[in-house]
Amino acid sequence: MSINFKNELYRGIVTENPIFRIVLGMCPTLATSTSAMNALGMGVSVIAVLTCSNMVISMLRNVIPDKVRIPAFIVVIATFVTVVDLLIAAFIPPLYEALGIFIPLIVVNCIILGRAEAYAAKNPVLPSIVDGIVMGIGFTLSLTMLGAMREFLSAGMIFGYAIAPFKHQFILMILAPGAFITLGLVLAGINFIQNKES
Amino acid sequence: MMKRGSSDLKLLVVLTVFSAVSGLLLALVNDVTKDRIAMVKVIKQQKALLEVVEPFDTCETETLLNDPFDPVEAFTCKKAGAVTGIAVKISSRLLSAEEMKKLNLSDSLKQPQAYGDPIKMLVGFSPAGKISGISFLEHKETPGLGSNIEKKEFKANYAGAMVEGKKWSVKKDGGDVEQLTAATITSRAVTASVVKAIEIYKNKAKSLNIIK
Repeated sequence: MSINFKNELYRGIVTENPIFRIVLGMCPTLATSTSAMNALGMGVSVIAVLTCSNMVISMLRNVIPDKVRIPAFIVVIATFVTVVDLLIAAFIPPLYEALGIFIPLIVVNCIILGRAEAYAAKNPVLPSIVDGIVMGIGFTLSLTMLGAMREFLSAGMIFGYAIAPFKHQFILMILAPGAFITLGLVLAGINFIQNKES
Repeated sequence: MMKRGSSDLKLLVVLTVFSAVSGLLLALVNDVTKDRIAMVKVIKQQKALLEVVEPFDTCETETLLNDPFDPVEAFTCKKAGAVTGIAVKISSRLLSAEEMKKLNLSDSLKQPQAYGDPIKMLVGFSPAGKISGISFLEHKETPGLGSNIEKKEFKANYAGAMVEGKKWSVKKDGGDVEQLTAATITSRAVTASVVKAIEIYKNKAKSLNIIK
């Protein structure tokens, strides 16, 4: 069985986009899309954790009975995230400085559990790893896009660089309502385009 | 595919084994990383010390409040025998009345809490009564909102200000500290901790006869 990475990537970014199509992991999405840089940091952390957790869940899929699969997944994921947290803190301090604040948020990220349940529990190891990578990339791109939009609307900047021709501050967009408004508008736009196509 | 129709006993065994293995793994990893993480924290604190006080040769550490996870400490830094600065390590943790008494702090001090775990910080003072710098050692505030305490603009509220020169509360509460947009609670917690640090510095400086 060969994997077409390009098709998989298309699936992760477009047809099964975790944020815009599956609408999973909303808590960290709303919390970390305040700026493009934050969004990217969260995204990169999720790619790493999702890939590895998919791999572990897939390896254990024949051992885990169906009835207790959810608690088993949660034990595996929580353990895994904590192990990663401790290892990064101990051995790669600069990385921990940059991404450490996102790691507790990953534990509450439904995408990790969602992909374990929907994909890794039913598929062999290699495709599960690929699924983790493409879903992580889809998550990162969408989150960074939301982050860039909110950063631009709130402060006229993207990745900390001033883009807008004038200086302004629109606090609402950094606050929680700004997250809901931006996400809502983007989802509406995507649905509009899709309805038009079909 | 996953096996279906497993007996209850099997479910019990599987979950128990999973939890046991996970517990064992966590204990193992914790054991391996414990010392290194502690070391990383010490290095970070040393760097922060260099950042918040004037250049020095040696620093004397005094533990004012013993706590395995979150001690309160004072560092008296000297160069050629003269005190160049005093640094106070403090956190936004809620201190009990007894602990406040130990630190010679008034009961009336407010102790607003941060969003995440206590924010740990190092506040440096010059002998002349100026806050020479502030450095955050550990915090778990929301990325992009509370985490902006690390920004220079926010630290400038404290660093460079005279201890007596400002009303130490956020503008929303009638003080002089510019609170962070959308992170007033975090700003309050930091400011209240700085107030504690100032009081500790004053006591320390008095005992060293630097200020009256």
